[in-house]
Parts: sequence; C-alpha cells; structure tokens
Amino acid sequence: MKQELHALVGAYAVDALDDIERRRFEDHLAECESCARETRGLREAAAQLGTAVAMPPPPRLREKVMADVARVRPLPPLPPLLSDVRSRRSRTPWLLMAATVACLVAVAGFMGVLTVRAQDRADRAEAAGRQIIEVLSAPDARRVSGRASTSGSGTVVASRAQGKAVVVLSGVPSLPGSQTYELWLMGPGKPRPAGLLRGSGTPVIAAGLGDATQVGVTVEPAGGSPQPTSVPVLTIALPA
Amino acid sequence: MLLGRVARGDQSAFEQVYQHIAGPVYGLVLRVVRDPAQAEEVAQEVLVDVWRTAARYDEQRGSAQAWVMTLAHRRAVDRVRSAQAAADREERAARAERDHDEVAENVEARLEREQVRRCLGTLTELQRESVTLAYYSGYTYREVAELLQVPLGTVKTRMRDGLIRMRDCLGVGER
Repeated sequence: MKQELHALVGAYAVDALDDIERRRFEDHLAECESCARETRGLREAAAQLGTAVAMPPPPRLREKVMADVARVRPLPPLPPLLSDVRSRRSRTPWLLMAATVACLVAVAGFMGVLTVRAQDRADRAEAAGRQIIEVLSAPDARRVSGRASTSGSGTVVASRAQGKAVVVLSGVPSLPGSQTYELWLMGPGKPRPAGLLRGSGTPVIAAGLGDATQVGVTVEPAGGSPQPTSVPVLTIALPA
Repeated sequence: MLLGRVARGDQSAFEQVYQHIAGPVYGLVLRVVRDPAQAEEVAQEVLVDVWRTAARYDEQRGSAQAWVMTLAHRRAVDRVRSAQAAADREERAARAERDHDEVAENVEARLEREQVRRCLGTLTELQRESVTLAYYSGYTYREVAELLQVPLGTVKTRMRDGLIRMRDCLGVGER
C-alpha cells in the first residue's frame, strides 16, 4: 500500500490525481519524510515547465488584481498549534481538537458529495478503458491498418468473437468544431453508424460488428449523420 | 523576503512580486484552461491568493516560485475539471491529438527557456507525453493512460521518472 502510494509522487506533483487520491497521498506525505522531499524536488521541476510557457498577461489584469489587493487583507500566519497539529497531536489542547473535529464533520458532509462525483467519473473512464482492453486482449483479436486518403492512417483491432472493434486514427487532419469523423460498419446492407471519432489518438470502440466486412471513416457535420454524406477518407477491410 | 513583506500587507512589495510572477502565472493558466477570458479570471484568483496567503508560504517546503506555480496549476486544473467544464471534456478529448501536436510544436517553439526544452528532449517519448499531457492539458494519470493506451502503472512510473529526469537535468530541488 505504502509503495503504491509512493509511486504516485510524480502524478501528484503535476496534479494528475483525482480528489480522493490526492487526499490519500497528502495524508501519506505528512507521515513520510522521504516522500515529502521527493515531492518538493518534482514540484520544482514542474514549476519550471510552468514558467517556460510564461506569457505577458493583458494589462487590465494588473489593475483588477491591485483593486482586489486593496480590498482584501492578507491572512495571518497559521498559529503554530494548527500548522503543527499532526506532529503534536498528543499535546493539542482538547478544545482545539473538538473545534477541529466539528469543522471536519462539516467539511466531510460537503466533500462526500464531491467524492462520489469524482469516483463516478473515474469509474466511467475505467469502464471505457476496460472494454478496450478486453477487445485488445481477446484471443481472436486481429490488427489491421490502412492509410487515409487525406493524411495519416487508421488502425483497427477487431474481435469477431466479441463482435467488437477498437478503432484509432493517427495523424489525420484536425477538423473544425463544425465537423467530426464518423465511423461506419460496412457490409452487405447500408453502412451502419458506429460512433464519432474525435480525431487522432483517441480510441473508439465499435460494438455489433455482425456481418460487417469493413470499417469506413467519413467527415460529417458535428454530431454525426445517420448515413454517410461524404466519400470515406479511410476504409479498412475487417479480418474475417 | 519579499513575500514576508507581502504577508504583512505591504502593497508595494506585492507589486514587485506581481512583476515577477504575473507572466508565468498567466502563461501557465492559459496553457491549461485555453480560453483567454477564463484564463484571466483564474490568473486573477491565483494572484490575489498569493497576496492573501503569502504568510502561509513555508520556505522549508520549497522555493517561492514553486509555491506560486503550484497554486496556479492547481487552480487551473480545478477549473478544467469543474462541473462547468465537464461539458467541454468531450471537446478536450477531441483535442487530444492536437494537444500532442501543440505540445510538440507550440511548447517547443514557445518555450522561452532553452534549458527546459533541452531537458524535455532528454525524456523518452512516453515520459514526455505523460508529463506534458498531465501538466499542460490537465489530464489525470488515468486519462493519460487511456489516451496513450498504456497501463495505469506505466503512466504513474513514467510521470515520476520523467519528472526525476527533468529535476536532475534542470538541477533544481533535492535529489
């Protein structure tokens, strides 16, 4: 468990944890001096990535900030007891503890709501990932690729047993917001819509392969079409 | 030192701090949230936060620059992950590849700091993509794993290794 948490130090330093993991990691940090030291170093490195993309802000930002600054008082330093509460827990006066607990209870109620939402999101992302992995790891999974007529290419990994295919584009031209790539399953009948492809790099899973013999990709108006309205920029024959 | 004066409510000290940090804060926030109007809003919040919480900065925990940039990055990431931004997520996913391209072109073209660029170049492709997708685009490591189609554990490791390499190449922080 400790090892697993420690492995998150890089993700933590670039804020790539969800709320739950972030809190768990911070709890761990408070008790692990070597992790805290590593975190400090990685944060310094991350900060350099940040300053490297510095841009002059619009001049009005300065006026807005200075106007706020004139109105807002800086917070006092944390009282030593509070900032140190973790390491001196046993010596913390009971009154402070009671106040802290009351606060935490109130915050916990609020955080509960956020936590559920974050978990929900993570679960959905995981479910999509799992489906893709299932197809990729199917015993009968076959991989086929084809070049697009524009630029770039597409790769299909299909499992006939599961009736599913994972399709991913790479290096195809980006489309304006008003257009989308749409995936089609093509066979004896009319092409069947099989999902929208959000450009290169993001895999899409097409279910219900059925008697489809090839997949096609067309450029459609945003939101997709029920039937192709343009010539495919890419077709790939599916493995039998 | 300057932050110490800021903590005591010295507005002219804060003006000096502003000169140093406004560009980096705004640039980073803009890079992550992308929309200039929102970036301005978030940058304003961050800069006022620096004023408000300067007394909470603890030099034992790292440089003032890292403290400020951490505040900025956290706020920017919170903004792109907030409920309001949820609707944009689909679109952000659509930009994943463009993000790659921009990370490759823009960051490399725009990185004013030759050293950071050079150091990014010493990372493996997967390390670089993991770190930059998280840092510049605000993706969680789970999302990065999905986008790059690599296992979660691999992404975790690459983010850590990549940052360690950056740290050592830049000569910042403790080993």
